Amino acid sequence: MIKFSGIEIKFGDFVAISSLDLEVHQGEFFTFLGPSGCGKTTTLRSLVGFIKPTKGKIEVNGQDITDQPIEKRGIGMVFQSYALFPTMTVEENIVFGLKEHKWPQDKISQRLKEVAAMVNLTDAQLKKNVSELSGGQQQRVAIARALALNPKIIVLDEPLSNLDAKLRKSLRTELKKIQSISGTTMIYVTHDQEEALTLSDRIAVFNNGCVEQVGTPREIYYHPNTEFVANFIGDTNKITEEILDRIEGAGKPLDRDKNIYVRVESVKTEASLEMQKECYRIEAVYDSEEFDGITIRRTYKVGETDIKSVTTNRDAKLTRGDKAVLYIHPDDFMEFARG
Amino acid sequence: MMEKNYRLRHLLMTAAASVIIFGGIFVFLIYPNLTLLKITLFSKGSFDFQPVRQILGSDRVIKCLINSFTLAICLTITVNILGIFEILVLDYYEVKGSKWLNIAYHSPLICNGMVLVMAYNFLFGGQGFVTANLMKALPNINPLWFRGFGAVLLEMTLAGTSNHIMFVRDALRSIDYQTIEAAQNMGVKSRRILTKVVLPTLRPSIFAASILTFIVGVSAFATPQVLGGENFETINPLIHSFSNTLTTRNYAAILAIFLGTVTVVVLSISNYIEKRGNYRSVSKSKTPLKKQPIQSKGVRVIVTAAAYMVALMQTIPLLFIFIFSFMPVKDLYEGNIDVRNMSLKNYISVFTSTTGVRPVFTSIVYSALAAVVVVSIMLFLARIITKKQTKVTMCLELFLQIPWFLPATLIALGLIMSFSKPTVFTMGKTLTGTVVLMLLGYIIIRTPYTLRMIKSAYASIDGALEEAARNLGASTMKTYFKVLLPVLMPTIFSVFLLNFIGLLAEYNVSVFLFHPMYQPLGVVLNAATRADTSPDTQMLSFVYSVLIMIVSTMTIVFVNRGKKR
Amino acid sequence: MKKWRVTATVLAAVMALSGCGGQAEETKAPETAAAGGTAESAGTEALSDTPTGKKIVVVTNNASNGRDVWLKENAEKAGFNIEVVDLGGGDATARVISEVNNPTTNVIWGPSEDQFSSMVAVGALAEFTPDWADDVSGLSAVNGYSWPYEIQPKILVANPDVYTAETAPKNYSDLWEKEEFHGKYAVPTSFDGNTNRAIIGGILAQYLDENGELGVSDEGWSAISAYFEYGYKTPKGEDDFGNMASGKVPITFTFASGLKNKSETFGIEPLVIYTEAGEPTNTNQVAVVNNKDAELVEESKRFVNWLGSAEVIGVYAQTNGNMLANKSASEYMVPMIRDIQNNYKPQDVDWTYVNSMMDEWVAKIQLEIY
Repeated sequence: MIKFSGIEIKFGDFVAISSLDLEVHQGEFFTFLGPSGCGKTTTLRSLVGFIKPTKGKIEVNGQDITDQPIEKRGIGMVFQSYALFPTMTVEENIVFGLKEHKWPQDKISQRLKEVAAMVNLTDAQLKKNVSELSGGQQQRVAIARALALNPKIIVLDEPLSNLDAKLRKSLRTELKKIQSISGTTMIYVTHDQEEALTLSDRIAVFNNGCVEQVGTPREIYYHPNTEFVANFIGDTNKITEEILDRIEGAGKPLDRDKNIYVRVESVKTEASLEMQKECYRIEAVYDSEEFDGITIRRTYKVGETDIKSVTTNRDAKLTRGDKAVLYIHPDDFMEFARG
Repeated sequence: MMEKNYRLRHLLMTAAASVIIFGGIFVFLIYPNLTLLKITLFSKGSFDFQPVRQILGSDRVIKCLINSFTLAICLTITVNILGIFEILVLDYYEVKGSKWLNIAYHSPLICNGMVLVMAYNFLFGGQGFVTANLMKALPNINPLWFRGFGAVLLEMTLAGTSNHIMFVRDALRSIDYQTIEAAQNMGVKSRRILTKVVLPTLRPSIFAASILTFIVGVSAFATPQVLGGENFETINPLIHSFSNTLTTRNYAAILAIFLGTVTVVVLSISNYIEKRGNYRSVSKSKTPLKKQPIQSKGVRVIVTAAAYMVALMQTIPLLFIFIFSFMPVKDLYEGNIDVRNMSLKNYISVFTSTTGVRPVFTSIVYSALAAVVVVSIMLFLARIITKKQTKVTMCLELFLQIPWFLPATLIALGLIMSFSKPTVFTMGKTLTGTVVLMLLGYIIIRTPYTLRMIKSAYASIDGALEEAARNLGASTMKTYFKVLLPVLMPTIFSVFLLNFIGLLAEYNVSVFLFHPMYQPLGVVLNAATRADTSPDTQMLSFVYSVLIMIVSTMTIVFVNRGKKR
Repeated sequence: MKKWRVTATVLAAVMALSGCGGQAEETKAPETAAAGGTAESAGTEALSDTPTGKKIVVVTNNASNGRDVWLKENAEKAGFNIEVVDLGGGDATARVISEVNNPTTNVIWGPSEDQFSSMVAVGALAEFTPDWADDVSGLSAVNGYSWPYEIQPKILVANPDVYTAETAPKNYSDLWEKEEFHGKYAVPTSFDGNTNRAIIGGILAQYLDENGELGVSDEGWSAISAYFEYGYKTPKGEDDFGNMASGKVPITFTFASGLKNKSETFGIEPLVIYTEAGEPTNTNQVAVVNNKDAELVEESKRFVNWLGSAEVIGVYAQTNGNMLANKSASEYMVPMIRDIQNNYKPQDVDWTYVNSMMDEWVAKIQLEIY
């Protein structure tokens, strides 16, 4: 549905995006994930029309929109800062686009009701000035405003980054619900991997103006194509020289010429005897723990190197300096050639 | 096909619009000034270096220049201190009676310029009322105690807080209260919150106000003339006096260019500093500012006392202008207020003169028109300048700032000379001697200030607003008028107000450009204070000032109402 | 709705301004027809005596103290329709010169002969000899355009309680040469007024030297330096005449026609000092501004004929204390002024030369001396 081909974007001499190719399918919840400054927002803005690519082509449903004026593209956008018009009421904000597109009055009121219901805004709230709303409410208005025109595509630029954790989670669920009801194709920009993993149908991981990997959350999590993706998604331990020196394995020794990582949840503190045979084992010393309710994340020391393990077992009472054995299954190692 | 059409249409429209607009701006706002500079500096066909040598060799000029820049620097500091104190008292701290203080702190907007300075002098000068009474108590006091640098600085500081009251105050009011709460929550002491949280947030507007204050200081005219005395002369009266005689106009132009260059350098340096420390508000849901109680009782008493002290100092001279307007001239010069001698004689003189109160209406119409037009043009130009930063727009901006330094007399002469013959741009009409010329002059002299204020207003708008509107299908034009303009409205009102008030009693440009049938206030007011008029005519200037104060007050009330909507 | 109302108001205001501006010019059409033969007689010597009542703009520095009302009322009685514009001599001159292509003013009354000669130089004035020209002959060089109506000596005055004719200075040079007068006399503080310039010219003219800087000998430059150094620079907000009256700075100077009003205001009869070298004197003049509209010029000439006539200018001088140029009106002058006219001696100076140098002298004084 949306196709970026050979996109290059330059700001002066600075290359923000170099030869980007990407395809987003109809009805997908697609996420651009990456650290700040990686080019994800730039790519998004080129789709909406705020930035013109120096090279390449953007197509929507086969139509080239690279040079089309912003207002003709019909792509809804939710801004990081919400960009609500401060001089207008909530209602006026939401119907702004409808009026611009010369919708008849009765249709406008009907659509207003629909989207207000979709984002849970009350009639009283609609009459308020936007500055009188809380952050979460303002976000709902911003989403409603983008939804109102019923665009085929909505792009969201870090829309939840200004909200507190709890609100973020509940709005996230609502957003997903709205997307599935409306059937809109959504492109979501975030640097928060948890958000990306929970919401997305597919994710594109951006780094330094390039796409490192495109895939479903599972693909990206379990089969990172690059070292960057492995590191950026999930919590990983790097297997250092020090660990390699002390690791004892059932199978062949690990390849010292590669960079090796293991996810924290794959570092086990206990294993069945059968498992023990298959696994590599490391002797370590317990250091500290972080408890977050569901899981416990423990840090162990192997020489000077930290190695972390996440478990749901909260029975073990360890004191600092206790000796422990850690088990890692050979399939859980992620190896990347050194570049 | 479609895309090409868009591009072509856009290109054509842009080209046509820029030719008309830039042509018009150049011809009406810039060309007259350049003509005048050319004529004065190259009067003999080539540049005459003799005046430059003479100027650089003059101890008086050098001393005046040093004084002007010293004054500008000190004034920037003192006006900021007083202005920030005032807005904090009005909106940040709980101070009893802030309603009254609010009215009092608006007084620099109501009355300014020569008449206010004269009022200071008739109060604190050698024969002033306050001095006379002081001398009764302390016979050893120097009657000229209120003279020199300190007096000039004090008067200009008290009269110089308009921009703080109009613009910095708006910025303070729009601070997100949550940031203050956050700091309180972190256990930061209230004084530290002020210096580490509140004031840094106000930085951009304080900066803009500082630049304007600096320019006011550099070009100080009336105050140093009256209160400076022999030991504190500044450069602008000298420039003004040179610009009034034909053969010395090149001296005026050279001094003006020199003053302008030095100021531009100072401003560029400060612009650079401003850009480095730029910040942008990140807060999305702003909580309105709540007033802070002053915890320590001692401090509270001191702050309240100081607040009222300042209020009195700013309003008392105005009150006296009102009183003076009923007095005979002899009492005024003798420092003697006697109710028995007061009468409506001065008022009757004004009302029965052949011009009567017509000048009041003339000035209101001209000032309002010019204020509206200049704000409209600058809304447009500042938009282009902030959107497209090219060499052309930078030059444009620089040229538009010429009137900040060029003496008003020279601006007026430039206009007269440029439009004394029919031109294509004026549709074959001669503008010299018509009612249009003074309007043009008014627009030109308010251009730099308006440009500066509107430019910073644009800079403070979240760019995403515009993008959001475009994204929702609004064209560039609609985006501008429906979204951006409403956001700018409070600033537009404020700039309009200051332009209007600033033009009400304008003299230097008016005296050359007014149409004889429509004499503006500035001209009749100055006619009253001319050296060759009799002393009692001078009293009429107080009457005119009272009229100006009434008009200004009404306008402030009107504009503030508009702002709230 | 509101927006439209604002726009409408603004538009109306523009139209009011421009509309009225145009009217002044347009009204001429019907009157030309009515006046008939008058238009043809333009340029010839024969001038009909009856005013047409066409509106003329009179620019003058003689408008304060209700003089504008006096002028307007009496002119109306005589059949003229005038608008009085109060402008200082310098401003009036600058305006006439700068508007030479499209004048807005018709009669200019009050600037000095020097100022008028610069107006003549750019061709801004209409050639004209008023009916009363013979009565003012011999007072200034005849240029055929502007004519004197008032003699304006600049006189030194002193507080009579402080000085007597014997103890007062005998000459300007006494002021700086004799220590007893140091700090006791007011000096000019601005350099664009006629009076101030005449005082400076009067001093420097005594030291003319072809080989000196700007035509003045070194001695002259040190004299003027000393004059300013030992004088009192009256700050704005103080009145030099008031200071003289109170005894604070007991010697000052004034233009003759200011004497009556100033003395009345401060309640003093000052000691008039007649210096040995004579008083710097010029005349104030009146002229008609050239205009494409011949009728306007004619009406203006009629007005000047009326204004300068003995009966009109005489009554004017009676109230305001002017020293008149018109010899047949001398009986109207107030005693104090008539007294001065009989006793003073105009300083013998080539004012044309002095005035031609004045701008440069003033620049030098401003930059190096003051």
